Amino acid sequence: MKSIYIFIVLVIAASALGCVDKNQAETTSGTPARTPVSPGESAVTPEGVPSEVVQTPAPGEDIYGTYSDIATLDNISSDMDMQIALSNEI
Amino acid sequence: MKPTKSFRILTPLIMVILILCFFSGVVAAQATPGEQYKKANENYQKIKENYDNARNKFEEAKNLFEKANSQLAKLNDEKSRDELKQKEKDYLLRAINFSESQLQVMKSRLENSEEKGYIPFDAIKIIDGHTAQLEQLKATVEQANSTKELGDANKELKKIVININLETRYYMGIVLNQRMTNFIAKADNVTLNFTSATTQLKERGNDTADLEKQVEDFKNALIAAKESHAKTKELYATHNGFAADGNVTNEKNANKFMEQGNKQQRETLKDLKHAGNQVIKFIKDLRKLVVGGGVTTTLTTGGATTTLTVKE
Repeated sequence: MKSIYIFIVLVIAASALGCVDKNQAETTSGTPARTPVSPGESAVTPEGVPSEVVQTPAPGEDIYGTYSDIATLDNISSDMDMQIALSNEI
Repeated sequence: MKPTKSFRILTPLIMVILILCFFSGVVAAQATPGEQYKKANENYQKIKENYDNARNKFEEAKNLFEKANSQLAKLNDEKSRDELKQKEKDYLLRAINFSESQLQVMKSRLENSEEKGYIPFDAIKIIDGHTAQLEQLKATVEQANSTKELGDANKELKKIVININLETRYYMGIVLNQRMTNFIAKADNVTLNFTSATTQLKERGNDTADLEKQVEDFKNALIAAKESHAKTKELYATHNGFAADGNVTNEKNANKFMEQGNKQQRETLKDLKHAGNQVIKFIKDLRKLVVGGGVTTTLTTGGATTTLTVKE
């Protein structure tokens, strides 16, 4: 009976400290999903030059946060292309 | 089980849970760069979703208005005129909402903790000013009854939209420049780390030819990025067509400046993407080599050290 209580304490301790399922969480955070594109973003630049696609790093391989940084640059660049095109018929 | 015995076990159990609850907050607070990015991205996506919805509704109203205009403008009966007026009103209201949602995207970007302080003037004040103008215009359109009133509102909207479009590109351009500067500074440190890691492995007798090539490619991409980035910064230092307080002073000059600046930034981004791919590839190959060769090496990442160790 005593060992069951010790086991319960250990499980609660592990979950409270975030040890349980931590690997899975790291896997998710290590590979942030590429942000959905803004209106002007495309795989081809307006000048018609194909844009290089940044490889998705495996979990734990993006130690410098390069992938996240590039995705952010890409997003801001796309935000720059947000333009309101009003009707010319009025 | 006697009640006294169960209390004896339950009391320390509750104490342990309480103590651990205090620490769980600390653990949760230690967000990785990936998690921080994910959180910031979630907030951005919510505003972006509103923008996308507003854009779709605007496009829909614009199509309906243009279609009605081509069909009903020729007819001179009162019913057709009223229908066209209603379509025009709907289109203008959607256009105002869409413009406001674009301002919200810009504002959220500028208020982001990481990007705060990048803009050397009060851009938020300008954005809020446009939002107030649009709100006032919305009230005017809602109350408008004649074609002339709607036409005047459209003229005013066009003026505001020209400024919003130019300012969006300018402000986002400044943020992008600063982000690129940060990335390049970080990449300079990465170059040192990669060179050091490659040297360590070479001294241990590992075949580092591929890694050395990647470091070279990475350095070249970085040099190219620095060149185009320097040109962009020159353009932004002059900020042709924009006053020092961020307002548009000359539409034509501002358009030309944004066109040139945007072209340079795309060049820089292309090179940085190439450099970024080299970083990801280098770490991947380095790991393979470390695992296969049974060696230990370290890569410093912003104060912390990642040790790639498998077996000596």
